[in-house]
Formats: sequence, C-alpha cells, structure tokens
Amino acid sequence: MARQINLAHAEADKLFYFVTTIVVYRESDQKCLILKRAGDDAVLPGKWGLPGGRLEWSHFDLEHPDEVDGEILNFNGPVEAHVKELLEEKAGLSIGERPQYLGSVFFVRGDGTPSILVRFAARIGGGEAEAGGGFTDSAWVDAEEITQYDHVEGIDKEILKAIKLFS
Amino acid sequence: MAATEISLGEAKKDKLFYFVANVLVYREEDGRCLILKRSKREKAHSGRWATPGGKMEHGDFDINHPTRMNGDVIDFEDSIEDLLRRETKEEAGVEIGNEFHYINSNTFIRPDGIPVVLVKLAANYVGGEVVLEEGAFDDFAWVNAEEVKEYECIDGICEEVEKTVQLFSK
Repeated sequence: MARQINLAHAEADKLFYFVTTIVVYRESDQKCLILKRAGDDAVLPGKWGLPGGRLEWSHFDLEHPDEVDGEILNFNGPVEAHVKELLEEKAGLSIGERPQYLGSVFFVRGDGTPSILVRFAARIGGGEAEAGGGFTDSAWVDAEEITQYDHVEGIDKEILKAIKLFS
Repeated sequence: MAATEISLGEAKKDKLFYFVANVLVYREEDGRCLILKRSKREKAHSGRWATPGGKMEHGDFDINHPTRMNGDVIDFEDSIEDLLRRETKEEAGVEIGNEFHYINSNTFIRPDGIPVVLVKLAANYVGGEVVLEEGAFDDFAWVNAEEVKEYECIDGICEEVEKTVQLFSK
C-alpha cells in the first residue's frame, strides 16, 4: 500500500491535469454565472469563463481513505466534491443538488500541459455571487447576453444547454 | 502562443493524475447493461466482472488536428466520450450512442503511489454483436439490477447497473 502519492513509476504520456467547471443556473431570472479570469492568469487571461479549477493531491489524505481495497486506497466522489468546493471558493455559492453532466474536453494549454476537463451544471442552492480565487469580476447572463462578453470558446453553448436543462 | 507538442515540462507535479473512464452500456430493448468477465491472467481484479473502459494517453490526440482553438488553448471536445467509444469497440465489439449520463467518480491511489481519477458514465447501446478482446476478457453478460447480483463483480458495479437502468428508463 502506498504511503504517499508519487510519480516515480508513472508513465509520463499518461499524466494529465484534471479540471472541472460548472454552469450555475439561477432559477429566479433563468441566468447563469460567469466569472472574469485574472489578467495574469496563465490560461486565457482576462477572458470570461465558468467557475472551475484543478484537482490536487492535497485533496486526498492517505491516512483516511474511504475504503481500502487490497493494496489500493479509494476515495469516493472526488469530482462531485471538488465541484462543490471550488464553487464555494471561486464564487461564494453553494449548489442545492447533484450536478448534471454536460460533457468533456481534452485541452492542451499554451505551455503544453495536457488537461482533461469535465463540465457540469447545477441549480444554485444559496449564497451571493462574489468573484474570488483567481477571478476578478462576476456577471449573470442568459444565452443572448453571453455574446456581449469576451468569453472562453464554448461556454455560450454550455450556458444554453444548462438553461434548456433546468428551465 | 499555442503549444507545438504535449509536454509536462511546466506542469505542477502535485496536480498530475492518470485518468481512466468506464462506461455502463445500456440496451434499451430489454433494459439490461453489459458486463465483462476479466481474464484470470489480468493482474488487477482477475476473474471478476467489470465494465468496458480504459486509460487516456497523450497519443490519443493529434495536436495538429484539434476540434477547436480557444485562444492559445488547443481543444478536443468530447474526449472522454470518444475514449469510451474506442474502448467499448475494442474490448467488446459494440457501438455506443451519443446519450451519456454521469454515474460517479473515484480517485484511487495504486500500491506504487500513482493517483488515478476514474470517471464512470452510462451510454446507450446502438449496435454490434459482442466480441470480446482476446486475452483481456473471458465472458460477457447482459444484466438488469437483479441479475447483476448473481455475478462476482468489482465493487460498485451492482449499484451502477441499477442507477443506469433508472437513468435510461425515465
């Protein structure tokens, strides 16, 4: 059983960043939250995007796994937990239900780092939107209004999909 | 500027994972899901029943032919769905459609310390006779939420079959 996470035996061509984003839908006016990325962000600086972030090893305490299966340490539901955490951290919001799956993207950052993105949507549960954790501004938009913002490619379609899903 | 190759030179080590996806293949005509019996020769979970899936690799992507450019970011849309289509065809010979549902996720730390993110989706069966990948699987079955309990499955499969049947029969 591993005592610490390490990549000593890993094959480099199978390693990725793992990223999640979420479209948050507000029922009262049928709008979704977008956040402005910081001007010094390494990826798409200054663009309007969705709350999101990367999974890190520090999310997993090897002393306290959910299950031990032989020599393997298991942690259940890390992606769902990460979505909730980052939404609180980046936008000060909570979601009231299980996130819905929208789709996936593999992307290569400008610095060459390979990343897998899983996209979700959920109805807002509570909180007032406030940009934080690397974002500098926030706005609530519908499928028309998003076109007026300099946004990350594809999020207009995700917002439209979320609005259709929830309204 | 967009990258000219995939590289880990600038990556932060403590954010790197292996990535695996599995799929519950749902057959609408009888409301059953496909399970595969892993070969006794497999190191992990030998002889137990599982679902199709596999590990993502950098070589799966031709950086010169993305589906979209996003500023200097190179995008390949539906990458997990495409991985599952390839793996299902390779491991079981069947084709899956475009309706995907999210089932759950798991991170596991292998005995050698490598962290793996596993995402499970469900998809609809669209065609093909089951032909098992030689050496990897010994048998297959189409099962509903009751029948799957009769098989010695990898942990979680019974609940995932039940959830898949619920999602698609809505």
